[in-house]
Amino acid sequence: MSSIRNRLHNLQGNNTAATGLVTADSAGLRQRIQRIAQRARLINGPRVRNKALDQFLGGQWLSEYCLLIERRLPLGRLHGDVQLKDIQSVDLSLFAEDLPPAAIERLVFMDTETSGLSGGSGTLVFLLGLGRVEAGEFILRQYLLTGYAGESTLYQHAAAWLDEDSILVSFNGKSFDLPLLETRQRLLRLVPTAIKTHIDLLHHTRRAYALRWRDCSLKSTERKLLAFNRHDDLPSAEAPRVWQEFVRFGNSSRLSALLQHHYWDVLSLLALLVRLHAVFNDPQRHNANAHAIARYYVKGKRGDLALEKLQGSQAVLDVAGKLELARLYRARGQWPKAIAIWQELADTQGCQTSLENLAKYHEHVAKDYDRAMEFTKRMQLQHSPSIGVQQRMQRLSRKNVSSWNDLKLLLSASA
Amino acid sequence: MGQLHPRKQTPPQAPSAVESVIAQLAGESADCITSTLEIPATSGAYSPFPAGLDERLLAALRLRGIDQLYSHQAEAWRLVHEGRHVVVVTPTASGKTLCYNLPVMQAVIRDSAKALYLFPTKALSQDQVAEVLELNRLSGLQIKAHTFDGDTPGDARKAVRLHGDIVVSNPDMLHQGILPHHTKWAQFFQSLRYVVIDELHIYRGVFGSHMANTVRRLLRICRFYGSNPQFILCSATIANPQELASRLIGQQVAAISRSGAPRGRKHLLFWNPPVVNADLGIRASARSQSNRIIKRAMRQGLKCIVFAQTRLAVEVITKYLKDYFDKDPRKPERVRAYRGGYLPGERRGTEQQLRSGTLDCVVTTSALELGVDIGALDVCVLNGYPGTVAATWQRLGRAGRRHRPSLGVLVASSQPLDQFIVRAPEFFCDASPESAHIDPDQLLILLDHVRCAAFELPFTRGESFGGEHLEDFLDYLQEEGLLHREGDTWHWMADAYPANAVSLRSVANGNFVVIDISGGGQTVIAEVDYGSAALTLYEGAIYMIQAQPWQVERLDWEGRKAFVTRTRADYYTDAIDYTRLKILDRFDADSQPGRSTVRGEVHVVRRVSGYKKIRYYSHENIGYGKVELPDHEMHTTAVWWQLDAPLLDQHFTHRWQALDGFLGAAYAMHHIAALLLMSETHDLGRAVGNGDATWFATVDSNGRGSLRSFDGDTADSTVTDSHFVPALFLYDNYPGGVGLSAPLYDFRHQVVERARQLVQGCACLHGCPACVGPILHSSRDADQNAKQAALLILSLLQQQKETDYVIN
Repeated sequence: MSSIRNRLHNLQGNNTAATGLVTADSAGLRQRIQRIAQRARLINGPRVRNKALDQFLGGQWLSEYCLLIERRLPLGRLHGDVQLKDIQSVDLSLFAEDLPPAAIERLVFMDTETSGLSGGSGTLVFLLGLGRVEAGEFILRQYLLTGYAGESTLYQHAAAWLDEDSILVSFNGKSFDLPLLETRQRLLRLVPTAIKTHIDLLHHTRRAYALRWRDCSLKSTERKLLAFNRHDDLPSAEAPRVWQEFVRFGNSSRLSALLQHHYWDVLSLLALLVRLHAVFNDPQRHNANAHAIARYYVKGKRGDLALEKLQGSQAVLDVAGKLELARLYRARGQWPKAIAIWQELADTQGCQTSLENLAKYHEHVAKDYDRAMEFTKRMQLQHSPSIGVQQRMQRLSRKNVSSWNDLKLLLSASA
Repeated sequence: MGQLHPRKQTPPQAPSAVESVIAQLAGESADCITSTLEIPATSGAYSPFPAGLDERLLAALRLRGIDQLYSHQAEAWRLVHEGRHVVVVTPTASGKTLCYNLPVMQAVIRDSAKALYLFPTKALSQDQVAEVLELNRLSGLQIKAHTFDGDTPGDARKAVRLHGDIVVSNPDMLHQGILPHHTKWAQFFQSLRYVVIDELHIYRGVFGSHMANTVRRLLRICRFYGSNPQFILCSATIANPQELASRLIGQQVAAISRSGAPRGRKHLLFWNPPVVNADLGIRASARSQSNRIIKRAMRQGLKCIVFAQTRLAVEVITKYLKDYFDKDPRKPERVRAYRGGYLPGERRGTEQQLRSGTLDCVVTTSALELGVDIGALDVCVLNGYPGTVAATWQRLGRAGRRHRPSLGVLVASSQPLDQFIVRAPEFFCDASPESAHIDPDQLLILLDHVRCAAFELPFTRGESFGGEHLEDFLDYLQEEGLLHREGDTWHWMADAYPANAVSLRSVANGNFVVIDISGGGQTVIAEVDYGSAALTLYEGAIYMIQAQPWQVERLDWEGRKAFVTRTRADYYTDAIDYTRLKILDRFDADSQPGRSTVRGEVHVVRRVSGYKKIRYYSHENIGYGKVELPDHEMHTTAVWWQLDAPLLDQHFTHRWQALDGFLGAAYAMHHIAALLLMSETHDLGRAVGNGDATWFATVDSNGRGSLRSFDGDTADSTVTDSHFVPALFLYDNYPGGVGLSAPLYDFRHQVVERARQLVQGCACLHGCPACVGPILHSSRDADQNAKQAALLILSLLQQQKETDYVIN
């Protein structure tokens, strides 16, 4: 060992000494001393013997290195300003296709604490939280590893709640937590969790508020949407270090804070689902982006839902939102409503798309070529004519001889 | 290899354009051609399609007009099916891709096996996918070949991972993007049957050592998924392909080195530019000669390629040729430059023009030495000796395909190696190509990869990784807080993604982008690697792309950005850099009274202090500029030769004379050492100074060797006698060293002796670029000039006990 260490130090560590830069070297030395001092402090800090952790944290050992902490919350209480019992009436079909409205007992709320944020097979999930609604209670399980050897137990035990019927609810779990669980399970040669339905609340929050808020982190979302403010919360970025200090030096002083932080993370998932349900039901009332929500439904081929959301928010829609609404009306053959929107946009904003749609409508549906020509000309006046516009004009002119003169005039003017 | 003809013998008359160009050149510049070599055409050696080759593949090959295989392709098929790892060593354009595509595609369609292809660059990957897709199309097979690299869009990545039969990638992507996420590739690794590594010869030195460790990690992951892939490697000609392949994959490899592909006649001319000043031994520049030869060839309608040694030389030659051929902007370009640093789109465009034959000449660096498909060319001009026999043959291979005669011209520069080769071409013709060395157990590189491997899978007791004792590394990493040991297992613990901190190609990290801000916009026009940035992107530098000059206005070193504007400068710039060393440790020493040779560890600091402005065509020096950049530091191993002050004072009247001698001797020894070590000159660095870094030697404005402190002040006054122990350092030019200093120490006597022969045998009177280096403006002072000073130093270094004295 010593020879390799010396050789490595010769190649790396001595760099600063070698240059004769005394300041750089003493800075390095200072850091080293600080590290040693910190380590001593950690070792001498409050310690709870590993064995007694279950009592200290209120859990039970599943195996030597895996502790399960289970709490049951009556649904009658509040989280922020959200009534937890409202979960009972959430219509899940707003968040996932092909879901029966009442599948509340199949929901599994999931959040993890990990050794790093980069992902990849070396990132460890050392704390897994799962929550379910059962018989009027919210059951919240936290699996805490006290060593790597507890990982298998963790996943094997958690599998009871994670099966094909589970509907996973997470915050950014699609791209972070779930792939990590799969990665660790593969490393342990376990069959990865088979999740069919996954409601990622980060995506839904972004839909509703990305354009309104500066960020959509869980913290901001809790504050803005749930009126929930954490007190004495462990900062998320500290979590890996708390666990490292515990595993390396036996420092358990901040484990309770870690568990509390993570407990809030999972509980907020439940509250957030309840609140987002209300938001998606009535975007305008919650100052949410109805257009983005409608686009999500359009993408899922659920135009009726999209139409409903846009209608409810018509007063506050922007141009793109109104065009989307008109498009949905048109697809349903509700021409007068569509035309009203286009007409308004054409008159107030000179909206090209609306003018074009009006021209198309009058040419192909109403067969009123004069009016079609009129809208086409208005498009032309605002911009140098595109090839499409010129073609439309030529076609209309053929259909309606009286427009010939207009056409000649226009073409000569634009030339 | 062919027959070497004495100079006067004219090549046989032949009607081809190539041969008439040779006749013209021989007629007008007979004195420049020191010798000619003719390599006769060879007819191909063929084999029938192997029994068992899938009917669909057979049909596809027939549709491509292939009715039989070259012998090396059939041999590859046979060895692969015997289960051996195989390395195929054949020249450019000999159909090596079928050597691996046939067994791989067969395994894909018969057994649903998977294959990983690794190419050193992204450009080569794309060529490969196109090739497989073509066979797919012809055969109606549905083999899925995809590139997976930095350019693969996010939504396509999952499809490639899950459904790709052949995944084409590069070592950097494997290292940073695939291995750390291996669980996402579980199905792929479970069925991985073949790993193809093309351009094997590129994997040497630092890059090769990293690559060998990346392969170790790959195999470790494969073992986890229960697969044990077979390797098929391809290499250009080097001395030790089998050894390199075996070192790279850590297993025995069978070699196929006889090509069955036919080859046209190849003429090779050795060209020494005419002497323009006999006194100073100055010859016309290699550039001017290369231009002449290319002009002759292009006027005959021949397609040409010019290889230059530096990016700067590429730009200068391109400018001269463009000034001549591309004067009229309305006509399509006939000449283009191609080198590292250009953006991918620009390079793809040039490759395409070459393949389609719309371009007549390309000027390039080693960038086109790789197997990028650029079609058939007729004439290859090497502007300067490429530094190694292997690189020379590989570049010459760019001209001449199948059935046409081709011409290669080696134009010597004034560098010692060039002069040596061009005057004694039989050395080149008889020499075997160089060996490629890697050191997979180089401590820092190994440590980097142990770290990455520990992230990918925990290490368990009894496991090994590389040639060093693994547990020492694991304990070290645990101490650093990166790993956590639990029982017999070391787990990754840190909040970090180690692969991102490790670059396979160097130790320092981060490319610089060159941003054009002329006209207010911000357009990225080039990329420059970290190592070259200090030498090419200092403020005031003229940076050239396709011979168009840009001036660097501002360099953001931390942000790795250089802001440039278009300019019309009639000059280019060349950096001036200094090197300082400090001795840290001595491993071996050979001490004699008054002199010693030592091998040990040194700390090297390199500083770019300024630059010269050099006018086009006249090459006069028209000004200097100052540069303020961070020093480039590294820790490496070196050999140094030193003489004590009393001995020097006996032989030299002035210290500057001794320093002159040291500088000249260092120049000669540097080149000889590179030759003996079969490496390139830039693999070694040289410096003259003393070991405590208080001073180093350089050339002052009068052309005399003088002492300087590292800040550039003249230091003579501060150097006391006890500090005046000049040493001549040759150091391994890579952080940590890649194993050059040990053999160099073994060669310590030969290096001095051969350098003395080189200087003594040089025809010049006072010293010249071919012996003691161009940095010394030699004075006409007959008894104490640079050449004699260097000879004196070399003979002082040489006076050893007879028993120690070995002449090779």
